[in-house]
Amino acid sequence: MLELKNVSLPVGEKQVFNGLSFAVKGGEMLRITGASDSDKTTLLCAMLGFLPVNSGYITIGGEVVNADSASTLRSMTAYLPRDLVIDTYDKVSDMVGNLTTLKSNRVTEYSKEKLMSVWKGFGLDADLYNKATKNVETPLLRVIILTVIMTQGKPVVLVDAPMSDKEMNVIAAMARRGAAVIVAESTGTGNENVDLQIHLNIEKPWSSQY
Amino acid sequence: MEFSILGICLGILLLAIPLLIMYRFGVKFIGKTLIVVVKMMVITCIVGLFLHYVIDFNNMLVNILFVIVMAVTTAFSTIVKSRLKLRRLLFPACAGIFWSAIVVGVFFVLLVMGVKNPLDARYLIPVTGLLLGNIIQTNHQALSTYYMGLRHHGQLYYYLRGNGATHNEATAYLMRRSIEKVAATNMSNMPVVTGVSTVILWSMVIAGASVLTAVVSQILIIIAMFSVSMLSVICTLWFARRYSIDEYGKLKDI
Repeated sequence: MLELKNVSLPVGEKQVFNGLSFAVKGGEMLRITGASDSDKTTLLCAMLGFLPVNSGYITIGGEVVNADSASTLRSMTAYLPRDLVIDTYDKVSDMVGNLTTLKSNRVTEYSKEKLMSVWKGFGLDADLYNKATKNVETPLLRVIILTVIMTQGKPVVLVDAPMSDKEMNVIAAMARRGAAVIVAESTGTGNENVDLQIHLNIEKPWSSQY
Repeated sequence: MEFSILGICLGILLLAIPLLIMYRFGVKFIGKTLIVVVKMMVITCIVGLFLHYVIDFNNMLVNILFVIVMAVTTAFSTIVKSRLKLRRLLFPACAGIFWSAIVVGVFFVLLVMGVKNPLDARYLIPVTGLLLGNIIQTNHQALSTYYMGLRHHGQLYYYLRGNGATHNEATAYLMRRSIEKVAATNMSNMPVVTGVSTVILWSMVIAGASVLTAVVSQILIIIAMFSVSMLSVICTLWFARRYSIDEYGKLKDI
């Protein structure tokens, strides 16, 4: 579970999210919407422990996120940022391998068969596995990353700016499987599959509707 | 080997060739060239003066201090060439470069050259000087690759860290690219028989050493240079880690 309690964040010289509080349990999906400069990514970064909070606290699995605990707590999280450039990997298999061979991810045994069965469920072609990443479109690469994350069964998943309906389908499936999922996007397409919603208003630091 | 006054003057007169060619073809930086040449002569003479007294004095602490000064100059040049922030990276670069030069330099003098006192100025300073000179040539590209990569692929760094990667895991691909750069630069210089990389061979032959000694020295010092460039990149990046990310794992502006 991920919880924010009375959180305010420093962003440059200004303070944002004055007293923001919410909790996302396993199996729930929170959608955070707002205009492009409404600090959605900043909020996700704070949840991952990349930014300190000015007041209040953030917890993951009951543990407070701070400079000392952030690295350890990130072994429980999965994160897909916006505008991710994946040109450092030659093949899709390299991209998959890089994620599955991280020390913290080796706790869950990776199986290619398991991944292929997930891909089959989402209509992904098994041939994609050996394709060059430059020949696969970015929205599809993001879907592939999310399917890998799904096989790892991380309890907290954060996704910034999903690019396709397929990506949202995978995200919703992860929530159904028990992950606490947070999605940040500029506009919400609707309230289906969403348990909680927060809209970030530039004039007011935040407003929420559940 | 001694130079006569006439010999020195005739050697300097060789400058007339490039200057006349530049003048003939209307190349407009004759003045700049002269300034740079004079600067080079002045700096070399100053360094030579210091070296003369350091070698004469031959005190262990002074010798190490001289190596430190050379390491600082090397670090400064490397960071300026790589267009990174001097304020953030000068200290870790100095530390990384100094330690790698001293370790490889002392090893070379003690075990390869067989000199009983590896901190003897006559051997330590020229050897570390050669090693540090190579670092300037090769390492600015490696540091630039690493830090520009972090700057432009910051999202990839946060993606990996947000998925549980350690800092080393999240920067492994950049480390690989930096090391490739160092290796490629060193390898492209190695098989060149003419030019700067064989200066040791020719200098030793001129100075009266046997050709065999000169050849062996050339080969071994090139290998040492290769080692120290690799080692100094790793050491610098290791020392620089606390200056490039904050306690939350967020990248600083470098």
